[in-house]
Amino acid sequence: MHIIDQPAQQELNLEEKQWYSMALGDLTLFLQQNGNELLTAVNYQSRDKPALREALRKIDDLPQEVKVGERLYSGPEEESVYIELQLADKPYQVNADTPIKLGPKGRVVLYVSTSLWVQLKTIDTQKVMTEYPAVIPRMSWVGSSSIEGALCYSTKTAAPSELSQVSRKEHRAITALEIVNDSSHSPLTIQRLSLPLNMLSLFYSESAGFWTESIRFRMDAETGETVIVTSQKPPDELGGCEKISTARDSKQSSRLRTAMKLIMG
Amino acid sequence: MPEFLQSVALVSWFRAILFIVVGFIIAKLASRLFRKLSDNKLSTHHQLLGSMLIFYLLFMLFFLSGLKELGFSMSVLLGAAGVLSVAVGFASQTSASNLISGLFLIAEKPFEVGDVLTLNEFTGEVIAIDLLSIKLRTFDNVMIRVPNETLIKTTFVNLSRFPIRRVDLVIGIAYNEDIEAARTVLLEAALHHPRALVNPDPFCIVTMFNASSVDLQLSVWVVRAELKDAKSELLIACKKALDTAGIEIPFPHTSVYVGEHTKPLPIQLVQAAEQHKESNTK
Repeated sequence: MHIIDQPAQQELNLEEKQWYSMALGDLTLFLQQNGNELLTAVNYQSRDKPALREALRKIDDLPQEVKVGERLYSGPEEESVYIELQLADKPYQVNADTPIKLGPKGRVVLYVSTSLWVQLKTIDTQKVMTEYPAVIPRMSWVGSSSIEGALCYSTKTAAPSELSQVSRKEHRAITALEIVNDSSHSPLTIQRLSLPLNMLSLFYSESAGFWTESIRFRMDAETGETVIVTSQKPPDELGGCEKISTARDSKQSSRLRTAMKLIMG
Repeated sequence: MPEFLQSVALVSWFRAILFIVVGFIIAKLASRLFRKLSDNKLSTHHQLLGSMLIFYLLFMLFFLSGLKELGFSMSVLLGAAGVLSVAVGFASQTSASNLISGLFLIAEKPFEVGDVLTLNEFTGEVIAIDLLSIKLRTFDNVMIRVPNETLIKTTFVNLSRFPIRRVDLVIGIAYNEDIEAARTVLLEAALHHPRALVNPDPFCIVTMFNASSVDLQLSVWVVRAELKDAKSELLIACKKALDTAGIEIPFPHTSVYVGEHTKPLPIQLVQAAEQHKESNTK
């Protein structure tokens, strides 16, 4: 993973009292090893600027406008810490720029991308010491009413249906989303969908970038019933992808039956 | 009393006290263990209820065993309890009412420990739900005890029942401003605000032609925990956005009209009058 500039799960070898920085998306993360503590500081650029992408490197000093945010102690054993990229901790509501209409028994594969999180984790115990989103996400609500539902993140997407049209960005992971309308009579209109990213793992390949497992939504436009099935890997056409982080909610089943209104809002 | 009888009585007393003390310790430990085991599985409210139930049940069992050691018959005790309950019931009607109201509140569960309630003129976080009353901690750190009976009888508002809340901001614009343009500016400010939820969408409506302004209501959904900050930040964002767009937020003012049935208003030019005075003195 060249953005982290080191193999996965390898300890951060930081020189004492030396500031380092790495950047991803809107986030610039600063790190300094100070005895047994690890100092962190973050800075977010404004959303309208192009995404940053910088591997971990030495810097002279912490920029003046940035203050130390946290002092991390990895525990009594002074475990080593490493950087890991991860998917969001909540479902992501993806809002299509234009509503998508699927005819009866219709099927479409859409490609949507969501932004990554940067985690500092202990090597042995795999505890997350701290984490920062590469882009500060907007919050949203998914559910049938303001009473029934859950908080989630929100993103707008063009949701192309051709793999060749997918724009790959270093700070975003792409999910192949297969939507099937199980109804034989009613068309299905999709304006937004809740993507259960907390149940997905992150994969990486040098040529394809960051991907998650593919997801299939089987929806019945008449009954409103939806079955979400996650596959074990990204699309086959990408070739070999290495799994770099496991799902946050790994106990969840890979097959989930739910009401359509709870994922479409 | 013969000496051996005295020693038998002493032993009974000792065993009874031992039962009660040990019972108390075991009940406490069991209720604590329940809290620990249910830490991530139950809400604070349920933890509190469960631990209280375990404590009182276990302690009562040991207490009754202690009384049995002293030679009390349970049937007599139950009979006495019946008579006693009538007497106590008459003497403590309010407490009994609170107790029963507490049971109704537990069954209905209109709030939990940690919820924020508004009751009459008080607003505070529920810190304890007890048999007779609940305790609220106001935001200026004052404890308020509210009898359960009051909660059953009066209307209260649970401010933290649902994870999201709507912030309604009433913003007045001057009568000579373009209402549509102001609506667009306010909606844009809300849509770009980081604390505003994307869904449900914010909306802006005209609510009133007020004395000095046309009132618009900007409604924005936010995460409940961020309500206070969101309201303040949204107001600031709206003021900045209206200022940037050159839209006036008017202060109350009065227009005076002079019609044909009134005399002309006397107008004195202060500067001219002063100049006239100065020229006279010269």
